[in-house]
Amino acid sequence: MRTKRPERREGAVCRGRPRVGISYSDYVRPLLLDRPDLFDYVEIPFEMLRANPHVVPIENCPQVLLHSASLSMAGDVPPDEATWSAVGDWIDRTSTPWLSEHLAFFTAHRTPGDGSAHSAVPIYDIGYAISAPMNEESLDVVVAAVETCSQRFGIPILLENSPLYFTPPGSTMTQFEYIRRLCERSPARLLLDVTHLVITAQNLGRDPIEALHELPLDRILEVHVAGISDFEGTQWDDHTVRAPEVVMDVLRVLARGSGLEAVTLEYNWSVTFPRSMLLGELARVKEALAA
Amino acid sequence: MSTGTVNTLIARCMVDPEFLALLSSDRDAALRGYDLNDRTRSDFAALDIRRVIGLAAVITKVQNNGLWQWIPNTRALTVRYGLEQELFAAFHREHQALRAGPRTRDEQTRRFFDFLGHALEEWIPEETPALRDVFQHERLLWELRTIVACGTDTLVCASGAPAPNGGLRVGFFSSSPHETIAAIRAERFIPANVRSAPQWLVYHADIAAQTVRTLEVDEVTGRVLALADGTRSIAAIARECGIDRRRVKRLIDAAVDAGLLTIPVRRRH
Repeated sequence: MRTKRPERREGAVCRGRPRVGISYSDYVRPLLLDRPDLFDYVEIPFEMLRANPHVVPIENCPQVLLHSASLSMAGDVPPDEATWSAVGDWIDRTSTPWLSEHLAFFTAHRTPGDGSAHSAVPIYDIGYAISAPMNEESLDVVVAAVETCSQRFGIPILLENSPLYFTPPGSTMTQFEYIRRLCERSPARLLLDVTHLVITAQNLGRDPIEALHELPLDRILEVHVAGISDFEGTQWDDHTVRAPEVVMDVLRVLARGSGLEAVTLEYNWSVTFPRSMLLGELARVKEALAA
Repeated sequence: MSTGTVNTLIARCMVDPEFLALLSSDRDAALRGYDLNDRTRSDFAALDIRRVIGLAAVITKVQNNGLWQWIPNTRALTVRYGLEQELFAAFHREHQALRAGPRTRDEQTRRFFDFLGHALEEWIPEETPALRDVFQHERLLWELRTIVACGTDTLVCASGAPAPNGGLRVGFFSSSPHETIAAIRAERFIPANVRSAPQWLVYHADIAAQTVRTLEVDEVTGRVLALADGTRSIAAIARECGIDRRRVKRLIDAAVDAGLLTIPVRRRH
């Protein structure tokens, strides 16, 4: 059964109670087709749409939020014009109220003559978001990138905190200071990945709730929720397991005291993540938001 | 510029396993020639390299999420036994080689399964009940489904030699993969409860019907069917199995009647 696609709203998912959505992957497609009423919105990776515009059943998405991993905001290798243009195109086509990106880099200049497998290509393409060194120099890069995005797209830009497993060499401040400084210097809003926040805090021996209060909570529009796994005493991002209770604790704080508008469940790594567990996570999130 | 250089160094660790190994073993040699200020160089010296290796493993894992769809219960067991991180740290090198050139999905999957099979033989601890059996079962199912999808198996058959009718694989298991998978799905899998249950399973792909079926057979039948690959005569199979030729003939005839085998007819000139 399909529900009528609601009329899109300009500029925001909602005002008031945060909406709850899901991060799209092939693995959640059956659920979306069966139960399009379950979530308020679907967050879709830009790269997926770019690779195959028909891969996502957009007609079954009540609303779309566009999430990008292509702009390498904290890197010194800018995306090419085709990428900028494609992001702009998908912003228009999805009517996303904002564009979220990673506060990270994906590409970097290749060391000449490194002799590795991709050595003909002048850049290293990691295919994954990694935090740049947290210092004023990299902030300059991010602030300029936010400005470029704002001018090109005309919608709010949300930046997502990366999980830190080690402090990038060359950092002069903590990630929490870095994000605060970024918000002082730019109009960027935040996509706070609560799981990443917990991972970063715990890997650095910090209390996640205390760390949360070091962030400009009024800038947070969206959050991500996923699981964490432990390997040899280090916490690792894991979208194949349920979120630990501390993630819900952080969510409860945010629900009480921020301008949070959207909560995205990010269980998109495993075809075997049981639907019952996903529904359980949805219930937990809604309970945390109502607390 | 140190910040750009740090990005380059971290990125290189993620895509160049040789460089990551060098950074791990000889940091000064790895950083030689890079424009870093003293503070950043000192930060690199203090870096917990295990976490950098761990990040490379996580990235490798995430970039291979799609490959697990064929072996979901093997994945569940590797998670259960805490092997995922080590597995993908070890797969980093091959993964980057695969990223370097265009590869089909099937080729990537096969390379990953070959790697996993090798890891299970070489270094994954024996104390991981059911893991090898479930992986073998899921891999054989994948091979048969691939045959169904391709519409053919790539066998060269000799005339008169019993050959698979469609796709055929045979596996010996020391525990029941079906029991383990049922327990995983019911979320009641306990390693200590895996019981010894030696068994031979035959996997048959019916290409016309687009189906794959699994049959449990006795040991003699399993050994005979495993050798019926289209290159051996009945006499050769009997010799290799050490079984009476007439008995082998009877088993082959029964397998032909069951649609598992076919015997290419000799052409008369």
